[in-house]
Amino acid sequence: MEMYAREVIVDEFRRAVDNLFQSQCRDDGYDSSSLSPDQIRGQEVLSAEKTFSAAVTLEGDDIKSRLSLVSRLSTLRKLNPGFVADPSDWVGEISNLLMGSLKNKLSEYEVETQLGIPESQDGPDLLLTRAGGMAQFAHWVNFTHGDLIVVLYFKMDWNTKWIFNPNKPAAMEGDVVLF
Amino acid sequence: MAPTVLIVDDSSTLRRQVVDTLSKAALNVAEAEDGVQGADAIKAGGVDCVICDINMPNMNGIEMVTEVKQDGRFADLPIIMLTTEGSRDLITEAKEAGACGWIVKPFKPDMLVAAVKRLTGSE
Repeated sequence: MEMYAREVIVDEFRRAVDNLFQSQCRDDGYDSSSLSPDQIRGQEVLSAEKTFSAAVTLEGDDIKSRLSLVSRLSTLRKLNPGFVADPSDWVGEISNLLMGSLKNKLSEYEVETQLGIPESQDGPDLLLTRAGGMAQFAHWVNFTHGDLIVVLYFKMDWNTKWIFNPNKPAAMEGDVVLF
Repeated sequence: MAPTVLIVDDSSTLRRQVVDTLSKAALNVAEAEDGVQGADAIKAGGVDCVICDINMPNMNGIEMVTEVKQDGRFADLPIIMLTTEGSRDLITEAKEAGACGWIVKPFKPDMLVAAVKRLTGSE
C-alpha cells in the first residue's frame, strides 16, 4: 500500500495525540482540534503562569522533524497524579511518547529515523522557538482539568510516497513481547 | 526473599511510576539514570531483573545490554527493554544483544508486573 508521506505523518500525529491524552484523561472531558500558527499565538496557555515546555527531534535521510508542547504545571500534574515530582522531566517524557509513536509508524514504511533526547524547561519558549522552513501541524488538547498545545514541525519532500511493509508491524503502546 | 528489579531510565517520572508499580507487587526496586549507572549497578551485584529504556544520555539501553551480557556472570540475567520505540529492527537488535523482553511505553502496570514475575520465577 503506497501513501503520501504527508498523509502518514499527519494521521499518525493525530492518532498519537488522541491515544495518549484520552488514556490519561479518566473522564469524558477530552477534545482536540487543529490550530493554525495564528491560533497558536492567541492561546491563553502561552501567557499563563507556571508553564513548562519540551521539544524532541526525529531525523532521518531527507527528513527533519521537531515536536514541541507546552502546558500548565497544574495540568501536567493532573495528567499523572502522584508521579510528577519534576514537571520538566514529565513534559519531556510526554514529547518523547508522542514522537516515539511517529517513529514507530515510519518504521512500518521502512523509513528509518533517529529519535533525539527530549529537552524541557520552565515557560513556553521551546514551543515558540521557530523551526525555520518546516511545515507545521498543531493540536490544541483540552481536558476538563486543563489544556496543552502540541506542535509537530516537519521538513521533507511532500511528494514522497512510502510503501507500507506488512511484514514489519511496529509494536504499539502498551505491547509486551517476551523473547 | 523478593527479587530485586533495577529500573534504568533517564526520566525520573517514569522511574517513579515503575518503582510504585513494582513495590505494590512486593518487589524490591533499585534505580539508575542511564546505561553507565545501570551497568555499574548490575556489576555491583544483587540485581535479579532489569528494566531498561533505550534512548538515554551517556550510554543507551542496547549498548548497556551488550556490555553487561559480555560478562558471563550476567548471561542469564533477564533484561526487559521499556521504551517508546517499537520498530521490528530495533526489537531484533535488542534480542540479539541479549534482552529477553520488550514493552512499549506507556506501560500497563499489571502487564509489567506479570512480565517481571514470570522472568524472575516469582509468580
